[in-house]
Amino acid sequence: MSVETQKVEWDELTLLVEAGPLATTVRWQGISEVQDPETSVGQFLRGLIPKLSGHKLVMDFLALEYMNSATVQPLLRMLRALNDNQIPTEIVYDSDVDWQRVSFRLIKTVSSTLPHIRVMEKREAS
Amino acid sequence: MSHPSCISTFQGRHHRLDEPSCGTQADGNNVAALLGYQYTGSRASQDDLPRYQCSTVTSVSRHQMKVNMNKNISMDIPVTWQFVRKVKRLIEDELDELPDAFRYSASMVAAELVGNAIKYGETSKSAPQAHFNVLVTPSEMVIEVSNQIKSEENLREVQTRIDQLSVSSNRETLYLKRLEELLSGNSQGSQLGLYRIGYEGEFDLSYTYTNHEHVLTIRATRGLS
Repeated sequence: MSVETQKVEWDELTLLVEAGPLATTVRWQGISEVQDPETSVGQFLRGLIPKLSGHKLVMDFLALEYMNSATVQPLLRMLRALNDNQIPTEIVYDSDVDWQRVSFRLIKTVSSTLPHIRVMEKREAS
Repeated sequence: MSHPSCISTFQGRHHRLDEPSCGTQADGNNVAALLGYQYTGSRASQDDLPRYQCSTVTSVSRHQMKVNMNKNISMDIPVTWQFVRKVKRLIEDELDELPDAFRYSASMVAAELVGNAIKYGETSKSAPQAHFNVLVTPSEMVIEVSNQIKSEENLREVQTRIDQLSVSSNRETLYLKRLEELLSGNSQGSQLGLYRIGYEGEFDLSYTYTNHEHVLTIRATRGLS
């Protein structure tokens, strides 16, 4: 079972899943403001976990323009599930964008207890 | 100082009085090109948003890059989720004279408050819609959303969170604590929006509740200095 390269959309949010030999990248693009991201985005993301065994996951938020506060919960649940499944994960954000800098700095702080999760600015990633 | 030089009242179209004969004048130091307009009326908006009341007085000193705005936007909102996005876009459009950071914060706060009203609010014959109001003066911005509450439990939860934010000297700590609760999985629902408004948006929150109508009004205020 492996991850397939695919594009998934909910309203103005697009997730581009790019499967590579060693790493899978999920690129968040557009605007995440659906009412119940837990049952849409969250379920989709957690559905990837069984297929990620032996792979690294990169979640790239550089092209995400906005996310509502409701998006944070499924994101945190995903991080916890990835950590529980020992999947090395990198979260990449753009610290030049005000809301990303604020939001992901806090997510970085709370996820520091998760050894398999690394939250980093884009310059660290490149 | 700058002042708009004319007044217009009409319906249905945003009208800028920036023609030289009407709205442009120099300030006291004769260094700033000023652009002023005033608008009062109701607008039929794009994207089938309900008609809303809007009044504006704006003066811009290009020299000082400073905006003095008086604006009031008032509308009733059907409690369906699509209007969260529409209200957010409306605020981005209507406050385009403000610096980007303020405009972003205002649209985020409006979206979070309207989203809460839709998720946790209730409609009835006496209150079939939520009410949304934005007031911008040169010194502050006030964003207010009123709706009937769905349950006493929701009300208490909102009151508790706003009370916490109001007395806290460190909103970041509250925000982080809530994120930790969500990360641990020991908490139902996100309910992060109020913390985001208080911390990320830097708005002060307050509320009023009318017992007989069961209407909760949440008010977010931020200084513009």
